[in-house]
Amino acid sequence: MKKLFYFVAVCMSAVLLVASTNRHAPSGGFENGTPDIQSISALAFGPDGVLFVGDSKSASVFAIDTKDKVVVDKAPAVDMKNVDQKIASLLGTTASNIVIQDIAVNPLSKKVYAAVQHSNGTHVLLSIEGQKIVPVDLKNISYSVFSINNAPAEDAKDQRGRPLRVWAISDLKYTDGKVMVSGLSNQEFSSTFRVIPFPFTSKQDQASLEIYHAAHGRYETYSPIKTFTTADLNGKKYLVASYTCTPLVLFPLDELKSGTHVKGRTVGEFGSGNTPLDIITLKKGDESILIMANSSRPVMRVKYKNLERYEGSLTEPVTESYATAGVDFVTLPFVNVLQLDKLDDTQVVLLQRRVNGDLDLWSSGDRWF
Amino acid sequence: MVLVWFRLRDSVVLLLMFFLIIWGCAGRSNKKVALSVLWENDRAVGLEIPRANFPDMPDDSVSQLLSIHLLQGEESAVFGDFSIHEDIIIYRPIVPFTRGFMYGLQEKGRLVSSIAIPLGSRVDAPTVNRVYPSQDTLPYNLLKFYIHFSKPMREGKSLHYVTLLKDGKDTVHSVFLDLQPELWNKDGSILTLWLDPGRIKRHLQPSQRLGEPLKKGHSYRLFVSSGWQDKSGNSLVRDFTKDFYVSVRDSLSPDPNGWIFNVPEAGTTQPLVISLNEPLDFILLKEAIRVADLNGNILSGMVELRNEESTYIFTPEVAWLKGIYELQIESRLEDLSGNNLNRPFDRDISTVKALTEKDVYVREFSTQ
Repeated sequence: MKKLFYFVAVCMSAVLLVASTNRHAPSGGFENGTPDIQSISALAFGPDGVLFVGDSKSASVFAIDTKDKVVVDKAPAVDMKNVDQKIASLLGTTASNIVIQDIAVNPLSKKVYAAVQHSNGTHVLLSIEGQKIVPVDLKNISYSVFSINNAPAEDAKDQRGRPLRVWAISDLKYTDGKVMVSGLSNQEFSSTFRVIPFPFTSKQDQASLEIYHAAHGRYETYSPIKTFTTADLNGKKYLVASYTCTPLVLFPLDELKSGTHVKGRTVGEFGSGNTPLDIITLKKGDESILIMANSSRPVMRVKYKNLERYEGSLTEPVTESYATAGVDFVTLPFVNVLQLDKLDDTQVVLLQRRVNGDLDLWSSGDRWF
Repeated sequence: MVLVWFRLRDSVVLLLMFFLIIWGCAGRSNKKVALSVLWENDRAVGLEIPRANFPDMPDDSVSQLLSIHLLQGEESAVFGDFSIHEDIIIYRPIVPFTRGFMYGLQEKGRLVSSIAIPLGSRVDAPTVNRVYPSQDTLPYNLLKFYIHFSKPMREGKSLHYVTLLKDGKDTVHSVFLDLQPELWNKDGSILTLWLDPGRIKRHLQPSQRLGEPLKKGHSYRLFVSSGWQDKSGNSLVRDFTKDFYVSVRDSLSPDPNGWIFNVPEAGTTQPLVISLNEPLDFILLKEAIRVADLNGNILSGMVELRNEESTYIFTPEVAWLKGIYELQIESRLEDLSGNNLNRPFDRDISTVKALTEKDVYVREFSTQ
């Protein structure tokens, strides 16, 4: 009888264990193995500790189950000085031989993940916690993959037999069960934007869009999206995108349907001679704000309620050098910020090149934003 | 005499100290560990360490007691794995070692050996093979260059090495679009470099402020510096230059109806030669044009571009049959200024008529 009791207890424990494991496992399309990731251009976290990796070289999006799911409500402050030198040393090289391509914060654990490219072409995924940098092992993991190439036909080659096609991922975000990917082609100068339902299924359903915006009411401008986020404006979901020449453009998400050409509404012109680098949406009290990092301008803040109020579309060219137009925005006292992500609801983690040339990873509370 | 004694004593002391230091160093390293580099595809992917140098070290302690460090200042242990293969310990870093750097093997934190990863042979040094467009007269709203290298190059810092000089003296600033990630082909040997589109597009702020990146009637030199290294750490053999002259703006879409076909004879595998009337985009010419029979079957064959990308030559694998064929041209085919078959690069909606929106344009030709 005692033996039977133990047997039943063990069985029940096993069932509970399996049930609890399944509850947290990503559903559908995942397999165990080593993903063939050839490059890491962009990172974004999805649900349940799933990290999306945008791989330009293989024109794919990988969903990786990081198993990093222990929930931390309030993230500890991040402050790592000379992060590039520290990473380079751990990779056996110097800072001049690496580029930090992207950073992403796991919304559950609040741990920072960084994609690093070595000058010899190798890509590495790292996690950063406190002062500790750890490589993320991508061997024998649970993952799922989505191929972006529409046509699996053989690519054209040059005289030396090298493939010519490039489809570089410029940004990647996850929202409401969908992975959104903006990309640049080395062929046509236009933006391809893809909305991919997640979990990925064998029967792929994706919307491929060409989206453009009207510049100053006269010229229709096809141009690649550099970075984007999504937001609720007046109860409607929008894609908030920034192009390579810094206008801020809104697209209603429900209009982004496969095979359509969608024209966006230009709501801000944030100055010439600049390329947007990263956009995030942050909460400040009850208010949602957009934070944008730039190549040649300080970090900018736009209140979503101002975007909601701004009903117009820019109709006149900005004629004064370096001037701006459209929705109100505030420049923040942060320059040379290369990467941004939301650390938690009130903090932002920044990768910033300091005046003395140091590259620091640090977090800032909402009083700065 | 006393002086000689003191000198003798000092010499003996110095000699003793010298031997002590040598002995101390030898005691520290204790063994001559002959490291050797493990190469794969011209990359230093690991180190081989003789197991015999660590006879007392249990197998399961190797990764705790040994570590590899970059020999430069106070460096952390390099990320990597140790594994034991009979009489060899193999260390594989997660990223191949960097050529030209020295690495040290530490046992319990003490340096016991070191090794230099050699620079690559200059024989293998990369070169710039070609730059497209090939023409030496280019429109002032030119959109992009393709730079073809002989080897995969270091990515991410292209604009450190590529510059544009105007009239042989002035560097043209902010002329290229600074994109991250950069646009490289899969193996990293072809770079696409956009001229800042904000400066090409009319009425956008950069073009108002800075003007178009290229000025009509001026000479330019595209300069690729030999400081640029390939992925193995080898620098370009020499600087590369491409000189060109800038002519008028091209605001018109390419028109396949004006192309002149030189149709081959049926029963031969002679090439179909098409004169395009203007140079078109190198990559899109190869990607966006197909030859099909009337049943829609795409013909296999070889594509060649001549006359500075203004002549398209298709040689089929199988002889032409007598009859009608189709040349299918995707609308995304562009000229050098980004004007495609459906629309010009920037469209003035107040003056231009409605766009034709076709995915594929077709020209038929018949073989006799």
